[in-house]
Amino acid sequence: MAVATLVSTRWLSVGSSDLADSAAAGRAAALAATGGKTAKLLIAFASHGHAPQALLDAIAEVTHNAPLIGCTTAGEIAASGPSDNGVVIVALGGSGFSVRSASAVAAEGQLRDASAAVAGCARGLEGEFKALLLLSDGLGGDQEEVIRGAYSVVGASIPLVGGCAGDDLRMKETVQFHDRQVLHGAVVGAAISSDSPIGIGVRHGWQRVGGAMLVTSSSGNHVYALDDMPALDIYLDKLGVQGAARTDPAAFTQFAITHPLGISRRSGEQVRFIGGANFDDRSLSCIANVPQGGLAWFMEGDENSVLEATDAACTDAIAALGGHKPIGFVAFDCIARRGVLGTAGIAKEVERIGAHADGAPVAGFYTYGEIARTHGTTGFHNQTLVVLALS
Amino acid sequence: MTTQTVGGWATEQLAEFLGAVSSSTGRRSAVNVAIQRAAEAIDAEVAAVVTSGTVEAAVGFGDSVVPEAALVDAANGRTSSVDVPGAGVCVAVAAPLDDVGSTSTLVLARSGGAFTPEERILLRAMARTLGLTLRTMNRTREEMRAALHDTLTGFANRALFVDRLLHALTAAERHGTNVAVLYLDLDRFKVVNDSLGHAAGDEVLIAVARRIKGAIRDLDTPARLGGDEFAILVEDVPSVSAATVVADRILHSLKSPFLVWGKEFQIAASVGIAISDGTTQKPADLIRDADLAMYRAKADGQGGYAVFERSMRAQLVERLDLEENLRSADQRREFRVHYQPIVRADGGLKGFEALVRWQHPVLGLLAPAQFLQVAEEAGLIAEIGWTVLDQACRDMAGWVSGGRRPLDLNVNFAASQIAQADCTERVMGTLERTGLAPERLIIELTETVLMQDSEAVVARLTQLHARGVRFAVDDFGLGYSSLRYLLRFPIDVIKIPKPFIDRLATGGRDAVIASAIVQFAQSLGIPTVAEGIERQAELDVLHDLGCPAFQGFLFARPMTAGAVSALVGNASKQSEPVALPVGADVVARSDALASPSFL
Repeated sequence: MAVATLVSTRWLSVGSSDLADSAAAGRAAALAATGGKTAKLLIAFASHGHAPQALLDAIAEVTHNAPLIGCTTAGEIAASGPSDNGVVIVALGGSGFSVRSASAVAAEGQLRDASAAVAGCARGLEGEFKALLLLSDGLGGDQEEVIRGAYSVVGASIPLVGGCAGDDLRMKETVQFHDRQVLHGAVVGAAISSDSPIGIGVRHGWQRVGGAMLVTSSSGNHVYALDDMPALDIYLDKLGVQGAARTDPAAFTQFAITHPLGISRRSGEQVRFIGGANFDDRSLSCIANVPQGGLAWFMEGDENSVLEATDAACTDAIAALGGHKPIGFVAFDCIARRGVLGTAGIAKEVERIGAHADGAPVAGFYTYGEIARTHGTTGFHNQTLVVLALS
Repeated sequence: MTTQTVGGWATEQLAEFLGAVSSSTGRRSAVNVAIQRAAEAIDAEVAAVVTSGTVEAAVGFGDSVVPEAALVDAANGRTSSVDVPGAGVCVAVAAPLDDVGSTSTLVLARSGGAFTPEERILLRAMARTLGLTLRTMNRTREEMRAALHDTLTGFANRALFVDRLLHALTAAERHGTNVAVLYLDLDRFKVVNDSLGHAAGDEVLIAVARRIKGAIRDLDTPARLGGDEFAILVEDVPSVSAATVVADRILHSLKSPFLVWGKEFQIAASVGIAISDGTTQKPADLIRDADLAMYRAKADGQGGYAVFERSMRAQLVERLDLEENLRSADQRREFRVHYQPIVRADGGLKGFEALVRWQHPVLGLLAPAQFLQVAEEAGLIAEIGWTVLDQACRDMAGWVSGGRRPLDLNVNFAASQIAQADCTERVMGTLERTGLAPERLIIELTETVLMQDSEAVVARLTQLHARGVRFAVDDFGLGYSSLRYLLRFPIDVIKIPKPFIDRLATGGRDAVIASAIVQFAQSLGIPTVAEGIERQAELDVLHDLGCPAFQGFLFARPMTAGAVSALVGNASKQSEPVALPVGADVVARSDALASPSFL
């Protein structure tokens, strides 16, 4: 199916497919998204289950090699609702948009350098309103380095937005796309310039559980000790974890996505998604850096708090459009929020986003981390919904 | 949303900031980490460090132009806002990195409203933390540099050189390559230090270091090991000749004169080269080998190089030890003068040849053959010669005092003694001081000395001759004998060397040469002294040839001054011919000399 909006010289449309054959799914979603028009950028979110090369080749064929960035997900979002095992493609075009895309593989964990290289595509891009859309490998190290690398190139001049690729919670390997290239451990990005405002909204809906703890031992995104106790043990005990999650890694991850770690920041707190635990050294593995010496606390969410955050993020994104009508939303929604909401809840959430879009197409994916820098220097988030609104 | 106090939040941020900044490895990295973390900590779009009126580092402008003037103004408190592309006009706040006299300032700018007092306190604390970290880094770097480098030349010192060599040897062993150590010692450095002082010497060392640096590759490591000694580590040396090329280049670079305080100095150097052999070697061994090779280069003639060979090690160690002792032997009064009698054909004592001995503290009494070569190479031979002359003249003056019958004193002179400009004055001064008549002194010169044939030497000899000093040619016929110098120099005595005498009795060519020398000398009117006579048969032949004087074990071995005193003293008291001491000193006597009388 396809939903398209034409506003003067800019257009954004979304196509999706749940066909099992990767090439067929890619072809169907791309045709639905472009409707035969020449797209300036395609943004593709696909299930990790798809054969990525077949998917990209098929998309390139029917779009005449339109520039593409994308990644695998932990679930796709389209106006029709959330899905698994599908493909969602956002196409944008029209004279009001200018787009440049780039990709770089982070050698030896050099995320910052890779991100800076990708951000270079924003150089010289004309236009009043801009955003740099970044998609990265959420399992590839400290994602704050992605923000730092991009910020070192574009500075405060361009907001950053995007998310970390997923692999349907296998937590093993994610894939990034750039044109026809299938990439691993990469940062892909597109600098988008528009003659109409671009809005970004960021909200999470988590609440603290229990008191604050001191991070007594951590290194990078590994947390070894909280209040001088093994981090995993204190996590299991304080949250009263029972059953398989105490010993089974997969069950633990399932539990942990709805029980993140909060760390102290000027803005109040940042949420850290706990991706896994080491049952031997009793440490926790987060998606981003948890500084030693800082305060941390455990968090949890419920359906209400998460949905309230959804409303707030959409409202913020629309407000940033300065009265201009949105032509489409791209949502980067944390997999953890999906975990809290459940199947019925996420359908409700997508519906709410669609309501805020007021008929404009909606697309997105469930992420392993979210990117949104609109002010200040920081911009990496966990357990958060980031909404990009184009007008 | 948060229930924390701002103070708690700020304390944590500072702890994080300190952790990140202090783990940086250098100023650049520390400053970059600091501005990044400071901006993140208080949600600022911009952070910068302004140092001495320029922006040292900034975050927030990407790779577009940094508004330097605005940030410098903000650092100096002249403005409290900075226009940031993409963020608009931002509120700026600044904090110095140090308490007093700070040249660096941390500046932050934010679009999200004014900074709270707590945020300002945090910013100041971050700035001080960065300042402290940078100061510590500076101090540590300076201390490390001072600990590992020669302050005069900036070259590596011995500790660093050894460390680099250790790594180079390890790498060479792994890659199957070789490293070379060049050990360089300046040859005439002492002259500069002695004549112009140590400050000038330092100037020379700096200039030498500059030339060495210009003659080697950037990846080679030059070091000053102390004094005027340098070493160069050359890595990845494919062959011995590759190392000698480097040595050549260095020596060539030192060839042009050094201008120090308006005075030109010619300074040569000797270079020893040691090359790793691919086995496990210790840095100290390679340095020592290069050092030994350097001594060989010095011995071979200054201004050259020598490559270490295994056989050098034992020889040179022994030689260096000997030289070391020899340098202070005169001061310790370890040189002894022994005297070997020279006998006339009529059996009377003609005089004595003074022969030096060295009473070595460990090795015992050493003959000249055991140390004179080393003394020559170490440049000590002339001073030893003067010591011997002084002692011998003093002894002889004592023996011939009181109107006793005069005796001749034969003293050997080295080429370097004759070469000294004040040679004549020193000889005459010694004679005057000791009271020995010039006529009693016979200076023995080897043919090598006479071969120098310089005007200055001829003049010196002629001067001394005019004052009564006589000259003998030692070992006549063994070297580059030339009749010419017998005419050119004032020669009074020809000594026939032992090798000719040894085969005299057996006949043959040597016998012919010996008799030819005697007859030739007689025809020139120059008396001869036959040396090294050990057998009666030799004496008989020489006697028949009409040789007027003899010297050798057949008559007496060299004896101590005390023994000579006793001999001469007894003779004086008895006024009778005195027999030489019996025993080892007297081997045999001919019939013709059955009752030799020495007085």
